[in-house]
Amino acid sequence: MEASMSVTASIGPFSLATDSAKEAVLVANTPSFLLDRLRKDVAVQIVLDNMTGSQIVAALRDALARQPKSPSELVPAYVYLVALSSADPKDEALWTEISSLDLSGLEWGDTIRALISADAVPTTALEFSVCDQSSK
Amino acid sequence: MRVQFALCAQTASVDRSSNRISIFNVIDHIPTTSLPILIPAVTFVAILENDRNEAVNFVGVFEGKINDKIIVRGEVPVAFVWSGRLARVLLTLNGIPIHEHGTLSFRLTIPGRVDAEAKLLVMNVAQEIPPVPRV
Repeated sequence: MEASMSVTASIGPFSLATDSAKEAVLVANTPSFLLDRLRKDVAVQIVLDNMTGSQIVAALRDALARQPKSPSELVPAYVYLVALSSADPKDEALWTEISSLDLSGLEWGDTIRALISADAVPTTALEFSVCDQSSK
Repeated sequence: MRVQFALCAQTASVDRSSNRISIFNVIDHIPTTSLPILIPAVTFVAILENDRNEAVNFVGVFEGKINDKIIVRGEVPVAFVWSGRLARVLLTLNGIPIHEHGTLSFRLTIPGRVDAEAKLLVMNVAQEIPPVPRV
């Protein structure tokens, strides 16, 4: 599915500036509150379902390049930024890109990036079949 | 390097959007009334803390034992990234046969660095059930 880079960011038929995402951005009183709210928002889930990490970074960079005319135009940028919290902690190239983003256009951009970076703990998940081994 | 914690649970999962870990039904002992039994699945969870932020990979050795008898053994890659000091290991062990009472232990060793171990007592509760009073 293609991500639109217009002011009213959307992915296919889905607008990223959902009512709930707008409400979260407009009423949030701390960066961690905004991060927690947006992580659960359908807009972030849509981004995660349809875009790769590099595509999200590119979309965020594009959103940051435009001067917002109203606070609600910041919503897609925050949605993309929060969606990056699902980036694979072991993907060094992607995290280098994330670190290099100029988030000065977002009041809480740097703090949210610091929070998602701290949560990026790499996980090794493996399965062992014990029956097979004990029968050897 | 340090072990923040190591434990066994029925299942554990990592949230896709927050990368947070959830651990369900922590197992602290295994009550049995007769042997042998087969435990369908146990998840070993360990959180390791490196001394400093550095991207470094280790190869750990995982070993499961009932008393002194090894029941599972394998290599486990453990990765730390530059942005933090923590690494998580989630190992799902399927079909654990228990033939004797004693201690079921799981240990992840990063040679020369750290041992993360979880021990479970396999208890014989049949002996502990009081006799039914006769009327």
